[in-house]
Parts: sequence; C-alpha cells; structure tokens
Amino acid sequence: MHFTLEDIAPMAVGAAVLGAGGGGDSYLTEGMLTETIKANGPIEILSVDALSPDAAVLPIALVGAPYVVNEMLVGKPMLETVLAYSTEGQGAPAAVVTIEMAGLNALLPLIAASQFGIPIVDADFTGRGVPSLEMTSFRLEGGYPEHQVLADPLGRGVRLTGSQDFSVEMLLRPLVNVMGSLTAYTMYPLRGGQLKDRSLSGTLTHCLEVGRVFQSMPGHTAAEVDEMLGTIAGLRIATGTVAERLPQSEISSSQVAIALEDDDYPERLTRIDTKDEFHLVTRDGELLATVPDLIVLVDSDTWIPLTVEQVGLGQRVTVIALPAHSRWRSARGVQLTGPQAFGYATDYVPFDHKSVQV
Amino acid sequence: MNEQSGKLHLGIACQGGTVQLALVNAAGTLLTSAVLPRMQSFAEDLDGALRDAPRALRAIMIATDSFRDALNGTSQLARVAALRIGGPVSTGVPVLASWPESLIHRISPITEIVNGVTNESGEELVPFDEIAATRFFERCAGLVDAVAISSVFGPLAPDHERRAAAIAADVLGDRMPVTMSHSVAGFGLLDRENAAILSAALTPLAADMLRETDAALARYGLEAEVFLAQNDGTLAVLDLAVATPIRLLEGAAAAGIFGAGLLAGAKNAVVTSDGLARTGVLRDGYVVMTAAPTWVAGARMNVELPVGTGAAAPPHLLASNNGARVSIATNRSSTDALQGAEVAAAFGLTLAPVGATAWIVSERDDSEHFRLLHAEQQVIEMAIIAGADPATVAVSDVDSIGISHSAKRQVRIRATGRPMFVSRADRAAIDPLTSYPLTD
Repeated sequence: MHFTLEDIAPMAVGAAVLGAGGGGDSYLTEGMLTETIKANGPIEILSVDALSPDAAVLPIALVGAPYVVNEMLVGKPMLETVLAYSTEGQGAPAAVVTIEMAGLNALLPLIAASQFGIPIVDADFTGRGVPSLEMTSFRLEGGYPEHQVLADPLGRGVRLTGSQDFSVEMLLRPLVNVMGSLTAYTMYPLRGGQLKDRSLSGTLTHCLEVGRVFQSMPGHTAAEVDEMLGTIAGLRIATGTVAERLPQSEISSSQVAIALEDDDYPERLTRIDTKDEFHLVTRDGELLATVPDLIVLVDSDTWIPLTVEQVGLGQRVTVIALPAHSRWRSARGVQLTGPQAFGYATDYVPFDHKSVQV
Repeated sequence: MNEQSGKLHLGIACQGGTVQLALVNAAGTLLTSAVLPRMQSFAEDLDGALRDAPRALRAIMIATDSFRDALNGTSQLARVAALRIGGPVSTGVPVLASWPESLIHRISPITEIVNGVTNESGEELVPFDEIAATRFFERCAGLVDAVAISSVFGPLAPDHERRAAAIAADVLGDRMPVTMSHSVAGFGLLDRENAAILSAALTPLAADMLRETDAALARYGLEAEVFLAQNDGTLAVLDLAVATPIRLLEGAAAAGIFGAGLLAGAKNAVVTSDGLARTGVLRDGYVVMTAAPTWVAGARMNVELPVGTGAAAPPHLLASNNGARVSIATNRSSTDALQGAEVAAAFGLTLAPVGATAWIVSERDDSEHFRLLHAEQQVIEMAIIAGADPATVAVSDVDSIGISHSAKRQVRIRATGRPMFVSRADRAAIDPLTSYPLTD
C-alpha cells in the first residue's frame, strides 16, 4: 500500500478532525507534502505486523506552539537534524512512525518518510490530538524512550539519553520554549517489537477514512451526514451559533468555555470546555461527551473542521463526537487522558452510550 | 453652498447587479435613495451616482464588491513579484503553495525566498539578505506590475519587510506598488503572504478606482471627502484604502449588514437575506468577523471577512439574535422600521465610523498593561490616518483569543471615530505620517 498525491487532501481533513481542535493547522504541511511526494514519488505504508521485531523505527512529531509553526513553517533542515542526531551515522531507520495522528503532526512524518526515502508505519501513539507527550499509548504501556532528540528550525539539536523516571513533558517543555517554541521531536530508536505492543495500529489508514467521510459531507442533508458519520461511529451532538468565548483561567489563555446558542431552540445552551483541544460538551447541565472521545467542531456551512483558535463569535458550528481508540476508553486509558487528567471534576461519559443526537 | 447641503453624505454601494444610492443629512435621516442597474465599469457606476448629486456634498462613502469579483473572475490581474523573507528556515512550503493553477497563471508570478528570520520574540535569528533581495527585484524589472513582500513574524517585527520595500522602490522605482504582508493581515505566514500577493494583484485596479474617482469629482465640481468601506464595514479614506484592496473585498456586504442593523435599530442581530441565507452578524453594533481562515478564488488567506458572507444579495430580512425571528418584509411599505432596506448598504455607509484594526500577541505578565496601552495608541493613530476625527476616535473593541500551547494570546484592537471631513484637495496637502506620527 502506498500514500500518493491523491491521499494528501483526505489525510489533511482527517488530521484536522482527529486533532479535535488541537494539533495545529494541517494546511501548512499539505503544501510541503505535495512538493515532497511530487519530487520523491509515493510513500510505502507498512503495517505494524510487517515490521521485524528489531527494526529501528523513527517516530516524528512537532513539539511547540502551533502559532510559531504558522509563522516559521517547517524546513528540511529540521527533519535532517532529527535524523542525524538520532542515527549518529548508523544508517537509515527502517521506517518512520507518527507519534500524534492529528493536525500537522499527522502529515509531518509523511514528509519525513518521503524526504528520507523510507516507508511509514500505519500506526501512531495517540489516535487523536493530545496536549502532552505523556498522553501516548507508549506511556500507557509503561514505555520510556532510550534517547530523545529535539531539533529547532535552524538545525540546532539536543539529544537526551536515559530519561527514565523523568516526566517527558517536564523535561522537554522548558527546552522547547528555549528553542523558540518550535522543535521536531523523536524518541529513537523504537523497535518493531515495541511498536506491536505499544502503538495504536491502523491509525494512518483510519485517518484517511475519517478524512474521506468529512470531505464528502458538504452539500448533503443532515440525515445523509448522519448516515455518513455512522460509518465511522460518529454522531452529531449539537449545533448552533457561537455566542461567547469565556476565559476560564488567568494563567492559560487558551482555556476557554465556548457557548453555543441553538439555532432552533435558542433557550438551549451548549457549552464546550476547551484547552488546546475540545474537552467537554455540556447541554443545559448535562454532559454529552468528554475526552478521550474526540469532540470535533466543524463550520456548519462548509463542514471544515476548526481548531480551538478558529472558533469565533457569530460562527455557526456543528459539534460531532467520534469514539477514541478502544485503548483510551479502558479504565487505565481514561485515567491518563480522561476529563480528570485535564483537571475537570467529572467522570468520563461515553457519548455513544447516551441518546444525545441533535 | 448652503449649510444644509454642506452636511449631506452620499452612500454608493456597488453590489451584485445594482448600485444603491442613499443621500443622508447631518441628522442621519435618509433624504432620498435610488437603486440603479450596475454598469460595465466602476467609472460608469460612479458617474451615474454623481450625475444628479447635490454639488455641495460633504462626504461620499463608497463600497464595492468589484475587487472580490476581480479575484473570482477570469481576467488577467497584475503581474506580481512575490518575495518571502524566511530562509533558511521557512522554506518547506513554497510561495503560492496550494493555489489553483488558473489563479497563478493570472498573476504571472515571479517568486523567491531569501534569508531573514525573526523569532516569536521579535528578535532577528537570521539577518535579512539584502543582496539577494536586490538581485531578485533586478530580475523582476519590466516583468511585474506590483510587488508583495512577506516575512516571518512580520506583524511583530516589520523591519525586514520595510527594508525590502525600500529596496524594491530603489530597484523598480517609486511608482511600483509594494504590498507588505504586515499591512494586510495578522499571524500565519502562508495565509498572510497569500493575502499580500492577492492584494498586490489588485493594486492597478485600485489605482484606476482612485483616478476615476478624482476625475468624476472634478467633472461634477465636487469637493467632498471620499471614503471606502473596508471588510468590517468601517471606512477609510480613499487614498489610504486603495493601497490594500484585499481589505475591501466584502466592504459592500459589511455595509449592508451594518445598514440593516441601523434600519432595524438593532445593535445585535443576525442579518439574513430573502429569509434564507445568512449574510452576516452584528454584535454591539459591529460586523462580526471570521476567526477561521478565509478563501477567495481558491487561495487561503487570513484577512478577516464578515461571518456569513458569501451570499451577495442585499439584506431584506432581519432576525434578532435572541432567536425569536423578527420578520421584516421585503415590501418596504409593510414596516416603517425597514424603510430603505433595499439601500441598506448605501445607508449604512453614510453613518459608518472610520476604523482601524490591529492584532498583537500579548502575554499576561507585569508589563501587559503597558503593552496593550501602547498598541491601543498605535491603533488610534492608524484610525486617524484612515480619516477619523481625532476628537472622536477611541478604542471601540478589544477581543482576544488564547494561543494553544502558549501562555500568550492574540489580541485584536479596533479603534473607530467619526469621519473627519477634509476635502480631497485639502487632505492631499496633509502628510498623515508627519501630522500623526506612529509611535514606533
């Protein structure tokens, strides 16, 4: 199986959906991926099972603030530095694997795979947008990276060895900030065997599938959209016009509650609690959906998925819920990525166990 | 000139297939209105609008959708030299990435990425390669009609763009229109760069509009001040507005939203057209703008446009935003409140404030208060340069959106004021930059 030019658009849409408001704007990496594939040809997609247990795999993610990426974009030197610092002349990795299948982080590993001329693995460690490197299936299964590398846009790199017992996030975030809030990150090497145990398999092709569903929504009736969403277990749970963006924290300016006024029942208020991603959906005091399930806001006129920053006052939006990967819906998964992990005093509410459709 | 006629304002909204005219007195009362069919060119539309206008108009406010239509059309636009200052970092996505081939063809672009990077703190990471920029502009000589310049974090630190603009003027001459990305939009390099290129591609059309307006004023012996409607429905003096036509794409639609609110006496409203399509939203008397990227002619940009625009029809119906729909019939005799609905845009123009908007990035630290005050002062000065009366201009709205994975937030500051009425001849004698220096 190969990733071709035709897959870029659905991949970008799928990545925006799986971003659940976060993950940055995949549009930026679309152009870059197009150029790379035009130059280097299609990218081979490998299933996790096709990897030999000792194959060295290079995970890739951007770590930083999306708005810095929006300005600096991403250049080849950054990825080359990651590769050079990781392999230290030991030869090319067997494949690239995505760390976070969301936003531009879903597309960047494809660019890396194309640039390095190696396959990409059909897997990742989150299956959705997450705010922290701690919230991965790699960590869920108790894994610690042997080596970690950060590279900045000017090709300056930092290599960390033996980070066991340190919180990856606490160790790396200050470095990321010092390096200008835009770095490419890897934990290398991961072995094929580790991937089998600790990754979420099939998420790249799932991202493509989700993207194709959302791409085909414009122009369809609500009933038809519901049917299309049904094929990926998604549900429309609210619709309305953004009436308020209320700051929820003095410290974090991205922590806001978005209030939606229902178009047909104006007395019905829907609230979406947000910090870097969309976390909770509440209507008139009742929780409709929570993390780790995916809460996706799309523009009601165009069905284009929106990042947290793109949801503005007066905009008509539709809220769609999609189930998180089954590993996140387990008790341990919820502990790591459920509402309480984000500081909300509420339990996980699986949206599809309720009757909440619009 | 008698006292009364000297305070008349004429609104001219060229939108869709019609030209709306609204003549308003100093009290804001609609005196006369008309709807004329749209002609082949702006010059003809303007001539038709001014032919029977009172000779002693104080101000003419114009809105037009012709810039948007020009981008969405098929005809050739200005040939653009597009320079990005961002190497060796911001090279992964080429200039004009993801543009439709047909649009690229219409601007016959010459593009280049030269070295020069500023970081998120506004510090220079990589010096601007002036020699490479000079060579690029030399290569463009005789092949382009306009220049667009973009740079990393340009809105935060525009120095690289300004130096490049000076080089462009040296190499290509003072008359070459140069659009700097920080003057058209906020953060997001690709989207801002696209906006600058699109704006540059429209500059000859905008220059024509300026020339044709001057000619029409002279033809009819008018000494009125002329304003153009911007995308958010606020006005800017003609000479300034034509420098960045990308900010005028939806001026007519925004004027219609604003005017519909005035006619209905509503500061908060959802404005709809023909009972179906939503054409806009008013909040606290201002046209609500998109937070998401916008698209024109298949290119993505970050110039804010009114929420809900896309349907170009003038507003006939209004619904209050408390959800209880207030039907306002298209038949103007059915309700006094909406008399004049068919010239809502032209009417809105005559009473719109002059406005300027800027985005800054701020952090909640000890010096934030002073940083915001400084920015507000700059936006106030921008509004004065745009033609606002200094005695009335004030910050009218401050909106912020938190930045993900950062303690910072983007703050949008808008300043508005009543138009200052200086005749075009007198205004030409004022150099706004020396009269109202920017606190740089």
